[in-house]
Amino acid sequence: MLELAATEAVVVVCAADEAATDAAIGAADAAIGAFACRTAPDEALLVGPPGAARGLVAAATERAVAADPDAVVLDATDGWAVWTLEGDGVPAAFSRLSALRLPAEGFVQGDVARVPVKLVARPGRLHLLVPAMWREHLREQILDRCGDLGLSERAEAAKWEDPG
Amino acid sequence: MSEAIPKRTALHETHARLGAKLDRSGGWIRPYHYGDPAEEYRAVRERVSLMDVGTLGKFLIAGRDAGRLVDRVFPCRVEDLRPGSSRYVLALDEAGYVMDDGLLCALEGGRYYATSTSGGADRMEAWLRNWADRLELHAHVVNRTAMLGAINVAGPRARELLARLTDDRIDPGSLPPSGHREIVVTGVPVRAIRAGFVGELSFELHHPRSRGPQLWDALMRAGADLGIGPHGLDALDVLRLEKGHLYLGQDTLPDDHPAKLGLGWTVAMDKPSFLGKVALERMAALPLERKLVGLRFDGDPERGAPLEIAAKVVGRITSCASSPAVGHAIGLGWIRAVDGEFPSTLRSNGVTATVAAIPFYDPEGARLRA
Repeated sequence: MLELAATEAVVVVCAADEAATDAAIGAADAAIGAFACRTAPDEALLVGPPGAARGLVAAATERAVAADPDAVVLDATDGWAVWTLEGDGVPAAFSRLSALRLPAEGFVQGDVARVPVKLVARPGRLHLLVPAMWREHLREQILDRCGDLGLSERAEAAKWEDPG
Repeated sequence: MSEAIPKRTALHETHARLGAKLDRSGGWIRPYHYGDPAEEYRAVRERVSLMDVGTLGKFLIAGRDAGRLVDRVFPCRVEDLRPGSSRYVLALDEAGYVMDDGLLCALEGGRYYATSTSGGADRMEAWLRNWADRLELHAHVVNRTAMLGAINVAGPRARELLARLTDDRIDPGSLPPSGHREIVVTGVPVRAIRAGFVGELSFELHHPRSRGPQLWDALMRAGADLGIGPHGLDALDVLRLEKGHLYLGQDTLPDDHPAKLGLGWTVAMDKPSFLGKVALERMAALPLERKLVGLRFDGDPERGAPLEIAAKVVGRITSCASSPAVGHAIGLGWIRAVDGEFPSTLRSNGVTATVAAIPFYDPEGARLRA
């Protein structure tokens, strides 16, 4: 079984000194259903379930500003789309999309179907965060390259769940 | 690698529904026209029109050294840029050559919002981050290009249209030329920027990407009795040419410094320092050998065609179009100095090209400042 689903999620970006982004990441750790990934020495993304943006921004801001008064924390949800692949065939499907080495569990970022993607891997599930302007490109590539793997597309959007 | 995959704005489906001819431009899929570029041109010049400019690069620059960063990297004067004001900026490299251009908007709290060309966003982000690091400045750069859409509302009735959809003040005193402010339009929070690429009263509405279709549709509905319509890149090409605005890349070469492009006015040489200043000072001592000029034609010119004097090639047409406002073909082109002087009349494939002052249209800028 292999299923592709659009996933509703909120994304918060924190641009700050390294210690402050560490602190912001702590806000995600403390929030229910949220996940954080460091995308650069001075930048982190916090991903959470729909409706969590305000709380995540507030919590991350409070923590980040304590370490870096100039920290910028923004609701960046509009800038991202999340696709989720789920099922036994995820490794096989991913191998057709990217040369990246996919961990069994964890975060990695790089080119997927020739666009920059953030990946959150969990057993049997892979979340792909793609800049919104490539949302349809990634969907089309997944469907095109993995169609013969028994891939089906879920009609209704999924909601982000705590992947940890 | 990723640049090879074209990006789509949130209005992609809207454009397709309107019958747009969509194709690549600057790394994006954009509307070239919606069936009748001449009518799209008239909508901008005579009524009101919308253009999807969500492709522009968009950046937030924050931190205690944000002001020092923009002052050091951009050649324009920054110290007098007050919150609520914006300024056209060039981005120069260390050799003084023009890399990109855009707007710099001063925000409250010492922050700045900057735009870049559609195709230059990734490079602009890397450039800003790189120089923040190299100058050891405490500034954070957030690339908001994917998060924000932008719609340009342009034309003599643009304010009238916007006033129907907002309770915020958008009169010339509250939102003057080169001004910007946060307002709410049909329930959508936007940063409205008085920008003027097409040479008419214009408001660029920068908004959350997901709200783009709602905002576009509301503007189109509210402007129906004003004769509103969208315009694409084909109409834009004529509109900007009439104002003498150049396209970086199409009208420029990699070794262009501002003076060659007629953009010396964007550079504050009396600033203590900025990126490329030393190179510009050195080059200022040398005579210009080549420059970009406005051209009027007595026939139909061809973009890319050589410009000649006595069968000797001394330049090239970089842009040209038949101008409804001027009544004949106009363009931009490179010319080289001949015996130390720039020629004023040239030939190109049997057409006479006369060097002309730009802008061709509304040279006083009265329409823009309406």
